[in-house]
Amino acid sequence: MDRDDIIVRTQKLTKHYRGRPALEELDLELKNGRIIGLVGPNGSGKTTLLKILAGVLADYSGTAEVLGMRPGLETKSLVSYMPDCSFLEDRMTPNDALDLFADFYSDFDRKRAYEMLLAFRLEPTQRLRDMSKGMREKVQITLIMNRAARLYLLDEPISGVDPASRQLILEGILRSYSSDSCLIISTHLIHDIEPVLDEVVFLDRGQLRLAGNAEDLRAESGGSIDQLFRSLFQAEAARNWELGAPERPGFVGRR
Amino acid sequence: MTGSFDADRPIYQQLAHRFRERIVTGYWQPGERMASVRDLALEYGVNPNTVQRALAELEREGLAIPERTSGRFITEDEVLLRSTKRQLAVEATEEWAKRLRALGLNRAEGAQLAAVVWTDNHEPNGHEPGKPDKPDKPDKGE
Amino acid sequence: MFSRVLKYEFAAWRRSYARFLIVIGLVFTLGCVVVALRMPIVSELALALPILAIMALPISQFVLVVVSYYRSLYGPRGYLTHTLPVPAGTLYAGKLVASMAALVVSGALMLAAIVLTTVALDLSARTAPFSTLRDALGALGRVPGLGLWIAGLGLLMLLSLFFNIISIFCAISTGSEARWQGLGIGGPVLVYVLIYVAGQLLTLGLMLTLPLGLQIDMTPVALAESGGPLSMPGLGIVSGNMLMAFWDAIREPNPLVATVGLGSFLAGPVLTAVCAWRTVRSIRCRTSLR
Repeated sequence: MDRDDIIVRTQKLTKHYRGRPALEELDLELKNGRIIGLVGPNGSGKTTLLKILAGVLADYSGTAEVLGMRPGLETKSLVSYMPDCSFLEDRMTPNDALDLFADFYSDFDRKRAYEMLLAFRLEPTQRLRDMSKGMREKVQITLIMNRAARLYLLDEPISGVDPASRQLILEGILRSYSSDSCLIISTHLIHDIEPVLDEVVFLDRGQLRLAGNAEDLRAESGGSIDQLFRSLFQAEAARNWELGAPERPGFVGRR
Repeated sequence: MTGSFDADRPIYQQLAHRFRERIVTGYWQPGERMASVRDLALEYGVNPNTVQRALAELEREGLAIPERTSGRFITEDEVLLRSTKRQLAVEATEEWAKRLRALGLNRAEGAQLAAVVWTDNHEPNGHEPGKPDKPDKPDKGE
Repeated sequence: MFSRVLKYEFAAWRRSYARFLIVIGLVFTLGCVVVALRMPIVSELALALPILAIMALPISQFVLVVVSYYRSLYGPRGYLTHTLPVPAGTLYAGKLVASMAALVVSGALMLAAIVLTTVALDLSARTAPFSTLRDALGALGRVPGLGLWIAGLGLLMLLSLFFNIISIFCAISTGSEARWQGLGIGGPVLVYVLIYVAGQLLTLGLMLTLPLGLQIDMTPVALAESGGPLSMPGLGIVSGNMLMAFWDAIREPNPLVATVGLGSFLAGPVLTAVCAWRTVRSIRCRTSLR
């Protein structure tokens, strides 16, 4: 941890979905050696931000940089991205998927990934379509976390799994994470991941609501990040409800 | 996992407290080499930087001694170990006294109660100090 | 890198198409066997099965190629495809080569199936196997130039298949960009219509402006129809004002000697090149996954 690199930088990052704002002039700077919790209610722009950084969403304005580069071919070998969906073919087996990653990513540690599969008690030759949602999520985490990337982007990595598996997945994340990289976890289940976070970024309707060191935020607010989250957003949600404006942009629809 | 930490105090302080318990009870022996930051982070399910911060606290107190190349060792300073143990005991007792006072008991009643409750078979036998109270992993979640 | 992309294209193709092929093959075999067995009525009805299988083969393959292009790039799997550290051009070339290979293979299988069906018919008619085929090939040899015409037509079909695949891929990629996103599957469809209209306009424009024409002389065919020996039309290249030739064609719909502007043949390659370029650009820097 002798270097201190800025892994992610965004300036006035803006993205609209047909007029509806998903990100609104977002300025962020994230350094290496940090596990960052990206939290906010549904529709606050978490997924959109991760998509842009991963290079699968081009139509934005403002700047987004990964290690000083615009997301593109050069950054793709440095970024390990887990989207909030099943990105593998149904007919593949975990072994097929490991082969694919080993072929395309030079930073993929196939041996360690295989061990993690076994630790997750997954059958390397079982087809993905015969697996439960949680099992498939574990396969994906195994692929994503066993790359030696500089930036990990995990979109809701624990939402679909039972508490015991959550524990395993978080362990997998901690086990694989190294200090010269930056790891962003987006979630609305802050309670479960709170102890593993260094920093927290609260997004609200595409804008930065609050960001800071997790311990400092806990000290300042005198409670957990989870409680802070609730106090930040619940009052607001209730107010919107009272105003009868549930269709306020950013609160409904797209994650 | 948060269940094992109080919400109202920084996690690194709570972690440092558990490390101290492990040291003064000999769960971590004097002179023993400590586990790596990563392993401790995994064991407690917390961020590695949080572990780092808790360890820095222990180093400042002299309970953990960093070696340039080979990690950290538990102090062999008997005096320091004894005084730390006493400090922890005092804190625990203060906590206890505070709760009894909140229940409306006075000092004599408290002492009497302690004498009654404190029987030999209540000795904390085999209790693992500073253990992260994770639930046991169930067999399979699917 | 290209070979690795190809490897995975073929692996994906194998995984998704194997079962299809087995089902079609079974239906086909069953039909042929029943036809060859000369069972009354049943055998005649059973001829529908091989014919169905022969038609289903290229159609299902074509649909599969198009659907798997869409799914692998713009469905959930697109999140993996688009984050692989592979240049957009390489990715695209891999998909194109694998798709064409799959279509050519299914075309070859279709030809083989046709041959096998004639054999089954031979068996049912108690003639020697392959006799129908032999007769057909014999007829080919008797008409001068027919073999060349068939080869030319085959090549033309292959080319137009290639152009079509490229324009469909272009429609899918471009139609999935942010600007069309609200339309869902309507985006690609709309872009395909636009490409089609552009292609027609380009064909007309080039046909009328390029001063080169293909002259088709139908006299030998007309002679054959009135009892002369079988023959194919004569071909020749002429230069001249194609606007005039076009005008003549409109006035006289069935001339013996017609001239078609050669520019129209240029439209395909030009449009295809533009489509391919646009698709790669779309994959490289305009992808917007939902």
